[in-house]
Amino acid sequence: MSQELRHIRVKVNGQWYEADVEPRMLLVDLLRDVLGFTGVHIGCDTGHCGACTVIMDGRSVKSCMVLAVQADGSEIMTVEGMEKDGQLHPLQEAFWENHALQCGYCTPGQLMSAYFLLSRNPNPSEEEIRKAIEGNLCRCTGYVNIVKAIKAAALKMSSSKAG
Amino acid sequence: MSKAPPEIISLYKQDSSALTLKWLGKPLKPKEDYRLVRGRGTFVDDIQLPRMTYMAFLRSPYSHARIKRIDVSRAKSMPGVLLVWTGDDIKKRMRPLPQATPPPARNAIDYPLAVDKVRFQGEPVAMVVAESRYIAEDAVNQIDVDYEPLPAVVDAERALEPGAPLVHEEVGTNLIAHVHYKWGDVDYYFQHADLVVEAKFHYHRFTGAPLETNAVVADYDERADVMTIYCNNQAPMEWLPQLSAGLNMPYPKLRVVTRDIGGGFGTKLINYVYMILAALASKELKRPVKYMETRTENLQAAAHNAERTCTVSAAVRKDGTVLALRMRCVDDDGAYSRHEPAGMTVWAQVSTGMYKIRALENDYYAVFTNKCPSTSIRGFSRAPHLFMIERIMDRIARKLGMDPAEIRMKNLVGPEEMPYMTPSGGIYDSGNWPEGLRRALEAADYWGWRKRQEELRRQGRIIGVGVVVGSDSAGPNMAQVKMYNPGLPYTGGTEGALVQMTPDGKVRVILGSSPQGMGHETTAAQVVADVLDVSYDDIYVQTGFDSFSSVYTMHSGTYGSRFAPIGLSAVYLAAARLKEKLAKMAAYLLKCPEGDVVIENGAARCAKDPQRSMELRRIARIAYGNVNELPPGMEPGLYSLAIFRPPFQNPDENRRANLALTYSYNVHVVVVEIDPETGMPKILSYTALEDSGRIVNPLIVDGQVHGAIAHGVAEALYEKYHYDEDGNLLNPTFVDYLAPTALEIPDMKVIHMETPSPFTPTGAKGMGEGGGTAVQAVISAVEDALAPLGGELGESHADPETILRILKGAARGKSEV
Amino acid sequence: MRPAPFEYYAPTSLEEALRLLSEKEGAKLLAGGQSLLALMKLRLLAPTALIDLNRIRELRYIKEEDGWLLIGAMTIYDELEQSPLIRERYPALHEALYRLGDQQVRNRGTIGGSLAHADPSANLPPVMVALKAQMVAARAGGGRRIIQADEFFVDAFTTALEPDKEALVEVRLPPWPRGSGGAYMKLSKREIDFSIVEVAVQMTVGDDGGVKEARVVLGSVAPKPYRAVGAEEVLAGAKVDEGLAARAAEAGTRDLEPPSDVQASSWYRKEVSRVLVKRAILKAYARARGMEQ
Repeated sequence: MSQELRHIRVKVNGQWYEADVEPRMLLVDLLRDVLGFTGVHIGCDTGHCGACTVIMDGRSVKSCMVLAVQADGSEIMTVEGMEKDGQLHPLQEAFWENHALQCGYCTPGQLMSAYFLLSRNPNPSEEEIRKAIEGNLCRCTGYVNIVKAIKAAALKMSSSKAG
Repeated sequence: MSKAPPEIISLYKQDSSALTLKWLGKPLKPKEDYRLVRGRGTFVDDIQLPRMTYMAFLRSPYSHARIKRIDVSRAKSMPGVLLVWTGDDIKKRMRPLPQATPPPARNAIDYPLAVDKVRFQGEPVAMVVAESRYIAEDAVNQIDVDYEPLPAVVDAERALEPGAPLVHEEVGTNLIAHVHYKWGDVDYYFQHADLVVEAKFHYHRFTGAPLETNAVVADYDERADVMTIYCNNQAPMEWLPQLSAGLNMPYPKLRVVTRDIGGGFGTKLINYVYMILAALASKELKRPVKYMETRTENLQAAAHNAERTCTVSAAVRKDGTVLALRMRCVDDDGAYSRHEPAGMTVWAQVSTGMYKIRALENDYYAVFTNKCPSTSIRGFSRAPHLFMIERIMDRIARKLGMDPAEIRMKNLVGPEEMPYMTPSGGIYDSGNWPEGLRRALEAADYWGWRKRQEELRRQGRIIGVGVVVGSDSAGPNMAQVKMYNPGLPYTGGTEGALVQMTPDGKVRVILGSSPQGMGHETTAAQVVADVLDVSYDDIYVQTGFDSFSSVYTMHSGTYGSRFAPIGLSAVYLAAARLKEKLAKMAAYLLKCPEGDVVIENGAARCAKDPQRSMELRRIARIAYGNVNELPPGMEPGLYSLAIFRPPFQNPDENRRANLALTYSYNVHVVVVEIDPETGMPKILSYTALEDSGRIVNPLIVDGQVHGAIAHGVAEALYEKYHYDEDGNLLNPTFVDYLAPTALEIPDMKVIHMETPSPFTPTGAKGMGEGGGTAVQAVISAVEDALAPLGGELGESHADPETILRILKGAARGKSEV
Repeated sequence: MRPAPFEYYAPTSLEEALRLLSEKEGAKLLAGGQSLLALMKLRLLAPTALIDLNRIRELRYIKEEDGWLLIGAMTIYDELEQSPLIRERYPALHEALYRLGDQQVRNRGTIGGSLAHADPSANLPPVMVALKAQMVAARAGGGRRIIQADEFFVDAFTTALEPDKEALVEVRLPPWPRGSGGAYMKLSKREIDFSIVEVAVQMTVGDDGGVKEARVVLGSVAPKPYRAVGAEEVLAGAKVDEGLAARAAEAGTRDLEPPSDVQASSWYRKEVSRVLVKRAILKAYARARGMEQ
């Protein structure tokens, strides 16, 4: 079955990229294999684990459940885009300080979901945090420190805004 | 049994005089976390090499079938397809994988691709290598296979019946191995017991499901004739014989590398089959070959735990003292014994659990079935064994009208008997277990909950409280497999480390382990910092394992919670030796008697004349470049290599041996509530006490405790494999294999005790598998909730339907499931 | 893990999409993709072409018209879940959305995609039937028709939409009178799972406390949403208390023959259906009487 390659333009972490892709290419494969953003991870094949979560046009989405062609013209943030000029984002800092990761495989996805949560709810309760990451499986931490880290980051981010 | 003999204790005792205790115990920010929070880890699938190709598999839809015909012609002719192999192609290129079992199981023919027949659903039947992941998957769908389905055997007990279908005809039986251990005068105690309590328990089938699946990149460099295998195997050196034989390449030409690994939990021990296939393909194509397992392949065909069914009997005195235990167990090990039946001996690490049980008899059968091969999943073999012990303790308590906490307190080995020798020759290094139980009960408000339980029950609410103790035996003695296969030349448990001070005074550390998130770079750096008293930030630990630079033995790797007791001990030794060398050089350079040199705060100085001091980095510069300043005859450089060898021995003629180096201890107290109308369980409170010896980094230890609890809760309430009677796996995806999310795992309260191990120089003990205590604790709590209705839980898994059936049955007068 | 090849179209107008649908054989409409792409990745489905509706802005909206709430088929779950209007007027729908999938799914999945897919275990179909929703089907050339929720779901993964001709473009929620309330309940092992059993109840209660109208609809127990008519009959005109709710639940689930699968047996589904129906009735009643937030 012949397919035409589509020419797409995607903005990732503030920079525009162009690529020629098959319509069936998954966004996660575009990000990882074509554009080199290997911080986006693949953990399953049914859209459950959330390791591939990125921010697309302001919303957290599973990049394995989006076609690359659907991202044509979109703005995407991956974990690699969280730090600015070598400074970690408060969420990254909080994850490190609170050891909210062990093997690190689910971590980029957790950070993206946390980022989305805090973008609309700057002061979430523990229940809201757990709900916000229900689409991000972790096998190492039991989620305890992840919840702790997101709370800590929320506190830091809202206090620095106030200050 | 009793306190261990002094001559054994002195054999095991380690010197820790090089520690300064300035860096151990501190919650330093883990080194690994910095790159991982930035998405800059290097997992196998992140590796991109020029001209890389991609591998995919066709897998058997049948659990048991003869392969009549495979037609790969359509796949082969697709553009972008480079290679299509079946079992016959593999058979031409390698001998069958060596088996670690005794005869006749040793005759089992095992290839990485099925040859002549398939033995479990999901077994790889053909492999494709293509220019892209997409083409490889397309090509797999173009391969035609004619199967002749055969009757499947899916029940381990029925697999032993005469006339049962044979998984391996060449073996002639489905029995992999049978062992019978008897320590102490078991028969006497059973004859003289006040009562005998018996029950049948089943430890169900599940897996570890790390978020990163099995993956490998094999890269054959034709110019150097070197095969590099980037993998995520937990013990790459253990499989070196298979790799070397399969590829017909000597060890010095085989470079096996691990970098970041996204979790293991035991499932990444037997993925060497993919390493071999990728390497064979790479050698053929002279291009790198990458394989990344899909989640469905992982759940269906990577590694399951060994299901175990046991009939347990306890000989008990009426005051609650448990005198002896008998267990007759059958292990369902799946279709190939690629790591099993090691589980038939590994439980003996904790043979009588935490108790003063005097005699033990174990009659174990390991069996082939048409299911995914079993391997060591977190808590391997100790967890099911301790499950049986803890469950029978609860039953005994109930029979005698004792509280489950009381009966444990009555039977626990006391601190005055430490180090304790078990009837099977195990040596528990240290611990004050009764005190640990007391503290855990207090922290959990156990007696408060018992009171509340009564009140709430009167209101019609179904509340259960479980208290369970566990041992996390760690740092295995591989000689345990000699207990069923005396001819196996694989014994002891060792690890290596290299500590080097580089010419600029920084420190470089290379480990033998293959960590999957346990923070080895962090804890190794802390131990080195502590011994040398240099800054943690000046210590650089190489990520992962590399057989071209790591100091390794064939035990090297990360499994069985071995890094803290064995790996860190090697790091300590190497750092201590380096410290000695630095002191010698400093003594000469400072013109100071050797015994007077103190290494402290990144410098060496004369204790009696503190003005005479030199920074370590100046010494390092001299050691490498200004060598004429060194004492005559002294070797330059600041390299230090050590391989730590615990004083393990082989099992004696009665098969008694110490099978693990350290024994962490934990107590879990769980409160659950059951919805009386739906049977849905909910954890109201979770408290854990952990004593894993000296804590190197509390962040790391707590993380491991949380993770072990999460796995236990998952296994008890959410994760269970379901096979139908034809061997079809009904839940091979994350749709129906229920890995819990943050909404299912409860919050946890963790408290600590630190009883250093005398058997490791750091005092640290291995931990992280938790001994499966969480599974025991949740099941114990659920059974406690159902007990007033006469309900009993015989399995390590309690789903709402099972619970509701018990509730309804109790209402009707039937109570056991 | 990766789908078979397909042709791909991303029309920017509804008319173009409908035209492509009727012209391209073997084509499927792509909405949020959270169900369709999952099936394609596992190669359980291999449509020859996908018509992506995501660039058709005219299909994303929530608006009021004569007391009705009109929702464009391509409106994502999250927008609906966050809508204060829906939360206030149709609490059963709000709850069903809150408990649907996870945040990432709610950021892509659409109401139209869910209803057109008609998964017997999906959260929304029973709610639509309980609310007496209307689905608007469109065909190329401007044709439109309204299909009542009761008729929309025909069988497992099968709706009343004419295959390859019609697309769902709008969902219309009728106003329910003063004294109305609803509830949605779901039982599953994990929160993100499809339900083992789910119930949507919507009712209107008179000032005297008697039920004037009630709709009790189960999901995951049959190939399509199951109207527990027996329950509705018991509720008619009655004042609801624990005992009556239990009787209604018993009557409404008596004839159920739910499926067995790896998560639950038929027996368990039937048991729990009764429990959930009872609880949902009590909750809906309390809300209808203004006794609950």
